Amino acid sequence: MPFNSFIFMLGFLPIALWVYFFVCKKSSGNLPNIILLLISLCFYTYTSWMCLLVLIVCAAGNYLFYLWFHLNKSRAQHKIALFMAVTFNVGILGYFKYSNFFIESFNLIFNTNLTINKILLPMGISFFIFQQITFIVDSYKNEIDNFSLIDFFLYSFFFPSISSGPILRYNEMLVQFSDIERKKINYTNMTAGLYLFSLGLAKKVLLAQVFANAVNTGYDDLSSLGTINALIITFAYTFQIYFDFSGYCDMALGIAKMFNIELPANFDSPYQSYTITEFWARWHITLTRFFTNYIYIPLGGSRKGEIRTYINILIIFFISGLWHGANITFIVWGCLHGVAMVITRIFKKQIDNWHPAFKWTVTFSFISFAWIYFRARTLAEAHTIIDRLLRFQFDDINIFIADAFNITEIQFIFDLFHFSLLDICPYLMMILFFLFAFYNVLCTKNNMKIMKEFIPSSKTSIITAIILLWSLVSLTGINTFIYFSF
Amino acid sequence: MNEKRYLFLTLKIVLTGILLISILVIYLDPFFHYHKPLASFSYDIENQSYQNPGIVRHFDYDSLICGSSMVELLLPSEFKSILDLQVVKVPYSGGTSKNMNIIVSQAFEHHSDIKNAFWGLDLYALKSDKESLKMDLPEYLYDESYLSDVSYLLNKEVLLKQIPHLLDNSVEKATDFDTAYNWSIEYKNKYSKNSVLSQLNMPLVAERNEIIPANLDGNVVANIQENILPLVSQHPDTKFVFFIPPYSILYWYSDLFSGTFRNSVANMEYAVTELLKYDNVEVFFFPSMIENTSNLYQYMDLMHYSPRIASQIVDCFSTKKYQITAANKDETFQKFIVTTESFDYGVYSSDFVVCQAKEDFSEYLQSLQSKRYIVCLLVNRDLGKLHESEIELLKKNNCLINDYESDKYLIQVIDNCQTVYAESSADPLSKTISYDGLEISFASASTKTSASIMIDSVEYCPEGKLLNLVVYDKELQRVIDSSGLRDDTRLLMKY
Repeated sequence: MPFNSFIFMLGFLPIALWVYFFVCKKSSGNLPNIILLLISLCFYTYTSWMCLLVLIVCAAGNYLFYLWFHLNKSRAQHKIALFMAVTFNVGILGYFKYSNFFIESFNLIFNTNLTINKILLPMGISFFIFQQITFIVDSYKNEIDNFSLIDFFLYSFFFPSISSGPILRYNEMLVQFSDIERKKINYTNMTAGLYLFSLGLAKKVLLAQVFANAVNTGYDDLSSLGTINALIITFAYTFQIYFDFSGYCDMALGIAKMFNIELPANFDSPYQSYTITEFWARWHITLTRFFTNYIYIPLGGSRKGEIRTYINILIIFFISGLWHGANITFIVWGCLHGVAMVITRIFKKQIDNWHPAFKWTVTFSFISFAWIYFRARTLAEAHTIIDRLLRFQFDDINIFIADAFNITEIQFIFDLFHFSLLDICPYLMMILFFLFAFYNVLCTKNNMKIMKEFIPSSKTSIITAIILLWSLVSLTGINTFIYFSF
Repeated sequence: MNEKRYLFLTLKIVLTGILLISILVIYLDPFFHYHKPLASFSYDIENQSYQNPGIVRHFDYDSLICGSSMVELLLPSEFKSILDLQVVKVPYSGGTSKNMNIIVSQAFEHHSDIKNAFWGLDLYALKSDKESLKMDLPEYLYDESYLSDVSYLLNKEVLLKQIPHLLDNSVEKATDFDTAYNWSIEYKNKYSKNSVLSQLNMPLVAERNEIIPANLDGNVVANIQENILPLVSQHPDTKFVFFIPPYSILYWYSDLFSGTFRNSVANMEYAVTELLKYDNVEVFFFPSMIENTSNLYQYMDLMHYSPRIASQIVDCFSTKKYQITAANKDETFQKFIVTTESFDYGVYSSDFVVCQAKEDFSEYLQSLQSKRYIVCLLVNRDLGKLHESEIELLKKNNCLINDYESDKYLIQVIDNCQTVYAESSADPLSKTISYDGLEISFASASTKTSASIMIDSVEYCPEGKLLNLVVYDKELQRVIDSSGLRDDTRLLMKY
């Protein structure tokens, strides 16, 4: 069930809040957490109960591994258990997410004809498995405080974070799940959560979707693109992915806050970064935290010499690419970032001396360039875009790409006041959208900071209501069907 | 302001907004989801996937028409006047059999007393997968759940596009159901031989591919058995009138060329045989309308026919012409095969000059000098003036009466290079004459929206120009060429 759906916003969320706080008010002990767990399971069941079953089996398996750590004091046995647990989790992820990718690659390399099976892909499995691995590794390190089976399952299935993160650590959640003070309805958290939710919703529905429409239009007809249009869809995707993912995370944080749970922030104005290293400290922060603590450091981090450090960085980004999707394009994307990280590390002194504007331009351009591999469905598609970018054929702006920015509400306003600006300059809205996007990512505070400084007032109330209403009516569109396309 | 007040104020505004928007959408209801059109507004019916379910639910009707774009020109008013039926039209352009099954089933759910279901049977639709749809349908308009209606009620496209458009339309004129999904006005200038030939990606006279043996397509069987016949058998009191549309003969030529013609016929024959097993079924086979299907000036591409043919189809439902029955089925298909396979498709290869330069005009006029041709000529002063050089050229080639003055309207019929009828005037002319068994109607711009030359009620000048020439071949008994002189480029434009 996506957060940006009617069923969630008008049905599930209000009912879940009411039920949860009603139970909190009427009872104590474990019941509120059990209810929150049931709410989370209902949330996931809406997508697929079969997938839920897969994740429950996975979580149950990890619970058994925890028991093994807990009941067995032998260090050697712990190591075996850790190995088995990580293999178990990676195996599940590999089977459900990567089987067909590996079979396809095998067929391609060895010219075989192995059958590709239809395998269900549980929503959020990549996040879920990484989170389970953090639990297992923390258990192995004996860092789990006060284990509770209900809290463990709640931590695993907590609905605001199960589909797209953030990737949580058990301890940071347990403290909150067991805090009695958090079981009372807190209007400060409720208002801040609602405000953050509405800002995230707006990012996703009102901004990301518009950029997505333009990007899809461009990618649907790559062969006709010239340099200008290739540039437009490249930067449009840079904004689409940021507004989409960070918007979703803002919504998750906002929902959790309404339940008095603080989730760690995942984004910190990443496009303001001056280097790739800084970018990864600001983009998908909990994923970077996972890679650093659970892979990079165990591999030796930077403690085993420069060369080994570079290799470790490359390994991390290779895994990161693969984790993002079962496609060679994601691996290339990850490797590009790995190489950029290594280069940044080698030439750190020189780069530090560059002018900040130059540093930012190089970093932002590289990030946007790498996103091409992230968005393209195949390497050939990515290379077509790059080819178009490098041809320096300065064509006219594709009217269909520009039209994706001429959103219904703007056309309505222009029609209402008989403005013919769009006839004079059909690219006006596209320019305004890009200007706003640049301004938003570079010059304004991010939503986390805005929320921290949030003071309830009539003005913010009206703004929140308008954003919510506007986003609500933007959830469903009409496929305009030009009849006679027989 | 404290947090509690903020929270309640926000929710109050949101809920009030939702309520007001919902009331507005329910009241105006551009997709007829809750009620039929309000009398005080003129609704545009042009969004099939979104409006069809509302039409079958809430409109008053006793019969319906479904099918692809092939049924879009059928006029409900003609069904009323000819058959005395109150019909609604619910087509899906390029729709599949599943599309039709869904909408007809919905119609029966809300109108169990449907007298007639007119169903255009397209071969491509029968061959489509039995579960496939032309495009994803908006489920919230098709299901019975009130909860899903939220996607309709809170929808900015409805709120900011459909409703303002509807409010702009609020005139005395009521909703016109004849214009529903009707593209005839938009494409009125497109019916011409050139338009059809431009769609044919193969030579007209050429070696044909090897004939593919007639095989029954599994999808055809599945669609007939699962998407069509269950509806027929479940509603014995409804007469199902299936009809195979009159595609142009060149559509079948493309099948012949690729070797699939016999296969297509076998599949159509299977469909017809299965349908005719039911007492409440009538089937019409309009590819037999050879006099229409072979006249490319009545088509805008290989399949889409003109409003004139659409009217004839409705007539046939009344007169039962082209009806196919168990008794005449074999003969009808055999005749269709023979006619299609033996037709001389070379008649569409024009030997006339393609006029790409001004000099070609002279050569073109010279090519008209044949005793085989009847040339109908119309000069329309409203659309420009003939130059002296052009007048000279026309006169030199016996295509213009000697006393023609450049500021006059003119209609003229030339047979065997001799003028057999001519009339010129300072006023616009509108005249119908009978000549050599042909009924030729001329009209100049002031009497019609543009110049027009019609022979036996078929328009041959879709885009009337200042000078229009229609060439009728007496041997082939058909119009073989039509062209108009453009005022701006002074070039002859071929229709």
